[in-house]
Amino acid sequence: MKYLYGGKMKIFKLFALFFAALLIAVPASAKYKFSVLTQVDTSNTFWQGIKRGMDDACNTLQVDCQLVFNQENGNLQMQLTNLEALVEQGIDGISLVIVEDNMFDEAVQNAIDAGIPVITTNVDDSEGAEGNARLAFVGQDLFQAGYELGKELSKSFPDGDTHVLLGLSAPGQSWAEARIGGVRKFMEEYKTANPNKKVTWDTIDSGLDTSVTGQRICAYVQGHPETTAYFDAGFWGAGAGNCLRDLGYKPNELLMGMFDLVDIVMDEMDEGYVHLTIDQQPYLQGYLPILQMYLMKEFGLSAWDVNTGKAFVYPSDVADVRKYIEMGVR
Amino acid sequence: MFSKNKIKSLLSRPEFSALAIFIFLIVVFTFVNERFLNSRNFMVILSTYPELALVALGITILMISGEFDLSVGSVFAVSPIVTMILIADYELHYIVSILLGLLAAAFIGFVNAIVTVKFKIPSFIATLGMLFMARSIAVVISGGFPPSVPKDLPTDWLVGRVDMLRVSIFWLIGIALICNYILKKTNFGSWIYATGENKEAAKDLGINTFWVKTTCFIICSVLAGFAGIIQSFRIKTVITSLGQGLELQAIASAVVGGASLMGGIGSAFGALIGTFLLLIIDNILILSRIDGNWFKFAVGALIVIAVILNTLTKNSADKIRLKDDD
Repeated sequence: MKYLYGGKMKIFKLFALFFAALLIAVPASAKYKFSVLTQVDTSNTFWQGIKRGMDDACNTLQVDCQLVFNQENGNLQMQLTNLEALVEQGIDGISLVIVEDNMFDEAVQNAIDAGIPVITTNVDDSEGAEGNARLAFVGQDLFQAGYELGKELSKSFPDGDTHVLLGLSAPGQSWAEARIGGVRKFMEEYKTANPNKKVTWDTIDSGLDTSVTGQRICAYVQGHPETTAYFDAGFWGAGAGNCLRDLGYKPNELLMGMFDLVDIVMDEMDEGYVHLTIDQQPYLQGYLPILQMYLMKEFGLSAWDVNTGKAFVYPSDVADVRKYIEMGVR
Repeated sequence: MFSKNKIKSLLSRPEFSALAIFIFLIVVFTFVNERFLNSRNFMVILSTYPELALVALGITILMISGEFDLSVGSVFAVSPIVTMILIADYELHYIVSILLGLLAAAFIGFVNAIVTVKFKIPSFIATLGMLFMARSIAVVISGGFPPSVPKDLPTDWLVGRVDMLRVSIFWLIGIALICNYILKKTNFGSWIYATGENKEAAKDLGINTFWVKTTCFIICSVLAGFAGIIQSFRIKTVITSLGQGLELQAIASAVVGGASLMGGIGSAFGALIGTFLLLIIDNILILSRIDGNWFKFAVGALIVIAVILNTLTKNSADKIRLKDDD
């Protein structure tokens, strides 16, 4: 208690030191100030790749950039508030994720009206330019990527009946719904194209944690051993490798397809439990919006759409891809 | 067959209703789904059980002392990240690295205790702040990309397979028995209950409630950190989002297992039962092919039902006791 009351000056000095340190940490003024806004919090591994791309672009172009993570993962209102604050500040350019179609329409329009270029990255309004005033989108066509994932992995489906498990990592979130929606659309076409086969599928809430997702997949497949393949909306399905081995599944016995490049996905590809992943190249999703906004500001050029997510990665690619993962660029 | 006293004693145990629901669900689902009660399914459930139960165990002890900790999910990530950085980047011996990882967890617990007890800030707020800070520390110290778990790291002593089980289950049993002994058979255990039930009265009895609560905060954090290390060794990877949302699951496990949010009530056995019940519910919903969009609703509803039954059985036990007193 002495420290609380008798030491008021000490506490004051501590706070003063803290704020002084913050001020020192603020970089010197650059020609342009750009911000990138996401709906996830700092712990999202995938977003660290986007941050790496953003940082590299900003260092190269000598502009001041800030990646604004959410305090609370997935809190869209918090992301919207951050966006409105940045527009009020008169920032030079904004890149953001739009995972909900209507919520950001007005704020983005306000930014555009104020002369602030806005480029969506990673996830776009599901209606694209029709649904939002943003100038361009740099990222993966999520629905198409899901469709392509299903189509590519189906080439390895064994003869006979096919039962597929779809892991909807985050029910209600547009990125997950779109990717799994794409896989589902392919499965419907696959069913029509194979009238002599019994083709069925189930969708579960697979979760956003490797351990939880792994356990749910294993619980499902041991209860439904007829399962041929598993598709995950993210990378968390790789967490199933461990318990599949425990259950006595041999490599390649259950086909697994998912998204993104993280260590656990590469490890399970080496082990033979993940067979296909689609890299949406997060580095480009961080790098290109900054480059585009810089060119718009500096030379009056216009923004352009980039589909970053066409890269299939197979187990045979793992060795090559690993060196880029270690550099933090894939 | 059972005397009235035995029934009364059973009903008054905080974990009774969770145990009853647990047995009920097992019996019902054994008939509904033939693959529910088979060894392979329980092998799946038991693989993650020790990790979640250790966190619930720590939370339960802390809740008995009248506090709780929202930062356990973040500590669950910090400890393995510290451990793995020390192993991979500083090439320390893995045992030393694990101990330092646990020391980091203990330090977080200590800070939680100081902020809560010395500054008289509700633990809900203090540990909410730590939830964010610890998660941020996990990202900063690893640069967002924690080092990979070395392939040759000896992990069998912690997560190796013994027939259908993993070694981690034996660590859990050992730690749970120690916690149960401390809670039920030692003076310190009595002090924890007394502090949680009525802090002022406990002080009047000469109990150093600051020391009791601080120790409980540290135990809670260390168990969360240890659980995180077990999980990272098991899945052979460390990511910065490890344990995200775990705090709510751990608190739910503790409450379903009979621990009171008001303090003074709870048991180590209850934490184990509560965790197992939540895992069983998750497993049943997956096996039942519940639509993904309804999954969280079903989990939430079953948790609420479990807590309502908990309250009803406690009330029944109280009524029997009052009748006896009359």
